Amino acid sequence: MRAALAIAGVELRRFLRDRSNIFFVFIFPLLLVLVIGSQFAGGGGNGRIAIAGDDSALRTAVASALENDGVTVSLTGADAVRELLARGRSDVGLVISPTAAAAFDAGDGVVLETITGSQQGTQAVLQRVRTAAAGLAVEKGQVAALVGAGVGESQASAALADVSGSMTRPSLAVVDIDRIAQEFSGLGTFDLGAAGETLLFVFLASLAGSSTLIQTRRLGVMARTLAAPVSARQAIAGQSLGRLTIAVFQGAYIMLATSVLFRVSWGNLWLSLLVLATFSAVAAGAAMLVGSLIDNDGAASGIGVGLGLVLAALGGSMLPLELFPDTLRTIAHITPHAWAYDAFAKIQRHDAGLVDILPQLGVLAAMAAVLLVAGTWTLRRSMARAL
Amino acid sequence: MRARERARKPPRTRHDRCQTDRAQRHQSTTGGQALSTQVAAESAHPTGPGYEHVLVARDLVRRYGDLTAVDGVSFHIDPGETYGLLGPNGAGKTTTISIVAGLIPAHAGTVTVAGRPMGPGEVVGKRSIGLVPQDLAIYPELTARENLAFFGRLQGMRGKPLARRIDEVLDLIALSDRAKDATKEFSGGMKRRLNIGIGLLHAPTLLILDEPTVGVDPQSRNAILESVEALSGGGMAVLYTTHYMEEAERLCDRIAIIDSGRIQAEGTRSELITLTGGLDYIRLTGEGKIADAATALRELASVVQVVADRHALTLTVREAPTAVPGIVTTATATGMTLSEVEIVRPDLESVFLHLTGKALRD
Amino acid sequence: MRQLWTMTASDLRQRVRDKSVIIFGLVVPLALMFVFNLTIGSTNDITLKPLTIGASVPADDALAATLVTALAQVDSFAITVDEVSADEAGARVRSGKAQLAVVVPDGFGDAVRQGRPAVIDVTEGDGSGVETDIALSVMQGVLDHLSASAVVINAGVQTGVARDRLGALAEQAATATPTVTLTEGQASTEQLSTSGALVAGQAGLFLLFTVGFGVLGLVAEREQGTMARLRSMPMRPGLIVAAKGLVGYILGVVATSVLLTVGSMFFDVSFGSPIAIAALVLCAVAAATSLMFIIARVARTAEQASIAQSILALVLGLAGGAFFPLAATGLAGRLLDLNPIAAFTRGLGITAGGGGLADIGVPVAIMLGFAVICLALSRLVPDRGREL
Repeated sequence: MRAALAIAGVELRRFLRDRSNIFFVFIFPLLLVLVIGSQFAGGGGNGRIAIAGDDSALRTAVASALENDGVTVSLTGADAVRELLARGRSDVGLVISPTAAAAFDAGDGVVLETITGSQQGTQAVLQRVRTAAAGLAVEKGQVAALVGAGVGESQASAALADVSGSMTRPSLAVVDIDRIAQEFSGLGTFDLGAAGETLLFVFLASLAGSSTLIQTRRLGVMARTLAAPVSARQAIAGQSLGRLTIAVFQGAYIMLATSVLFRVSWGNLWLSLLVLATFSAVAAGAAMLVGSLIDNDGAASGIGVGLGLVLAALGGSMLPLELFPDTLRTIAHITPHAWAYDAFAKIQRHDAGLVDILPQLGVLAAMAAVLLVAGTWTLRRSMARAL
Repeated sequence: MRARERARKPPRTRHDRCQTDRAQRHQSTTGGQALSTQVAAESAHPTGPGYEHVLVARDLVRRYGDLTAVDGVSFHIDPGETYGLLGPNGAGKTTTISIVAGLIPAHAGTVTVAGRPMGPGEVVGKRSIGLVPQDLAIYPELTARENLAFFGRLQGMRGKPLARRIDEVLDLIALSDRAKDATKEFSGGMKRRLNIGIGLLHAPTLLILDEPTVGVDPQSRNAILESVEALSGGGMAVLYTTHYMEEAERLCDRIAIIDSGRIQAEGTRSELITLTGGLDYIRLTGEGKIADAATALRELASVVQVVADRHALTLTVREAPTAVPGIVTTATATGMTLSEVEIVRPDLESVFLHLTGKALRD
Repeated sequence: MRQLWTMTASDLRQRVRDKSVIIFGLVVPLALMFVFNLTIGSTNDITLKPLTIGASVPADDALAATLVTALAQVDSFAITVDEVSADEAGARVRSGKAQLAVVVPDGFGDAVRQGRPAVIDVTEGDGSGVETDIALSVMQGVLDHLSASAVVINAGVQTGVARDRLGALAEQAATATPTVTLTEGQASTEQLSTSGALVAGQAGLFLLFTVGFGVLGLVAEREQGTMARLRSMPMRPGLIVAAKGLVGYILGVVATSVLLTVGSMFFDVSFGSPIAIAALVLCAVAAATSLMFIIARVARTAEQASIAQSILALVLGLAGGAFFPLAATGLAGRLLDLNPIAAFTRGLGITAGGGGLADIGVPVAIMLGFAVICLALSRLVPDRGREL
């Protein structure tokens, strides 16, 4: 047992000393959480519109009406509007010509030019523009009508202001019981991405470790280990323990860093760590399998990265599982990522207890067992190649 | 009482070596007589105008930051001559080689090969040299044949002549049956042989070997030395660097002793030996009246100096073989019981020690 | 030059033989494209689907009825309004039979006219999205209109307008309001669909890895010992570097072309004019190759080179939208634009929208500029590997 722990300790030390890991293990995961989190947080609101046109009463009126409706307004030039639309940085473009501005001031009819992008939210924003446009010149009409009925202009304006102030406008009270929206309500900006990305990086870090396994064979260190009074079983146990330690370390680091830096809440800490440990066991088994089957560490790193990214994408680590179409969501559960994601979601959002996540833990444990057994068997066979 | 004499071979002339070589060649598996003659024939045709020396290096200087790795090195190599650079690790041998082979520029000084200037950009000059670097310079993913073909093409060889030549070299280095295997599967010795073979492929006027036997097993080492002997016997000029004295003594016509970036001494073996003054050492090990023996021995004409310690006497004499009988008689007569008499004739290691105060091998 | 070609051919042969290029340059990106398209691609469908609304409207309330009329008049997609009881509306939304439940309270019309609070309860159910947003906005528009009418009538009362003229006030207010008409300008098309953006982004990201196999071979040759022999060959030393650059360039062009072709076939994306695409690919590969030259100069060992390459590739790829489009405005946006991968995907967006050689001037300029700057830097940066 001591020998196995010693081997595991050496593996962790090598991992931490390897300077190439500083970026990929410590910095990059946090960078990704930050970028994804701020991306999707900023994308909230009711859409984006770019308005072109000189400063005028019309432009101000349109802009403030839309802003009140929750639309993000950018004021730019006409060419910039088209460019923003082309780059997907705006949903709708609006061009206010000087003629339109003058007409508005004069109280005449106004024609506004809209340019639509091909974004998902374009139609919704376009409707908001219509709604805003309809409410633009209401006051002028109201004054004109009162004047037509024989009221003095200033008296009309005053009365309108007074009445508007005292009357309550009818409103819509919207409750969203959409399951997905419900699911995600109450989550912080970074909460949603953090769990998925932790799983992504733990798996990737583990698979990257498979290349150290190959180097160990190649450098002859494996032979030296076996020449010491250490049984093959202990050497293998040490290797698996080493891989597991590295994976848990990576995961725990991300969990800690995101909770400190981005205020991500991980729910019940012990349960989360349990999920992490079980998932890490799966990752460790996969790494051992890859490291024993492949001899060329260049190829292993390519396969490791590819496999890591593909499984993560399929398993809901990049786009949340809840947004998957139903059939795809079922398929996703061939990956360990999906099961771990479900467990994390339950802990984070629904205060699940140990009993609630037992199914997920069970599946993960089974996957880990299969992979570790297979990995052990292939590692044992590969040791003959090392000698 | 035992007499032990570390035998020293007499200095060999090139003629001597050729005779020995012919005898050896029949037994050696790596010497191909046909090839050597052919190689010699090809290398005997200079690529440039008539020249006296195959290589002339004049006042070479090369610095790395504060360290001057090569500090005013000058030497020349004649056609067909094997020239040795003998020195410990860090003496500047590899840097000198790199300058001479045109890999790096010298900060001062010039190099001429076969009458042509030599430097990193000198394409014509490089045609006359074949380099065998100390670190293996072969592609692991390519086969032996592909390695040879690649470098052959870079040398400007093509088609049937190239193919024929590759077969000849493979035969010489005894890799004909493994020609189609990727070199990553070769043993260390095989890789070394291929490393040399690539340097020979284009029949260079000057073959440069940088410590070719470091880390090599004795059998492969001997094979390599035999090939070099065969090549130089066939007329190829060779520049050979090493820190093994026996190799320099065995292979080289002239030797330069290099240390700290400078050539400390240069000449044939016998010329270099005389630098120690041509003195021999006799070491008497034994019991008894050692101090008395020392005093008596100092009186002898043939003895220059006596250094005594508890169990032995080290005598510096002029000609050991003739002085030994008298010394033994005197020592025994004064009451010393001898258990060992050792004669040490000077060699290049003692020359190096004499010149630099350091050991040749660390 | 024959020697240049000899070195290039030999390198290409070795790279293909050790299969690493094929894995990293083709297999992994294709696999990723496939998975990403399955997951992300499916959620970005922009056709509007029909909407079912369960509405509870009190009978005989004229103002409430205008809401329903307005909803039925929406023509950009089909809205079905079923008038049911309030409980039924709620039940339908919860069961998924309707996406929206609208419950107008009794006395709505009177409350609006008198300026008292009138709140309509709306419940969004599963599957609500863009379509419900539009419906909500339409309803809000109606409410604004109703409110404006009530305001003007009450103002009229306050200012003593004759009772019989009050009714007409609202209508006059409406007609006297200057109309604001919206016209549809030219829709902009220079944008890749989600699938297209994924294909282009992944191709760009892995391009940075692929060209590394060529150029970073310089560092590997040094470690391997063969660099010394190459420099002893009768050829100009610059040819060695040129050969490695050429290898990286060829690998990059081939891999990117294959990725774009296969990607466009599998994911039904059209990138547009082949000539313009070819120009973009050539420029992108040039930018990527030149970046590798800097790494080759600065890195001391092959391992260092590989790490530097991975970091740069991931950062540039991420910023260039390889995994999801990064939308940023202002200074951050400008910086992102200078990234050659972003320029590459932008250029493909232009060609996908029908642009030709003349239209891709800006992306081409960015990529070539990047290449020139990197090449210049690679000459100025000290060569850390050159100690023999």
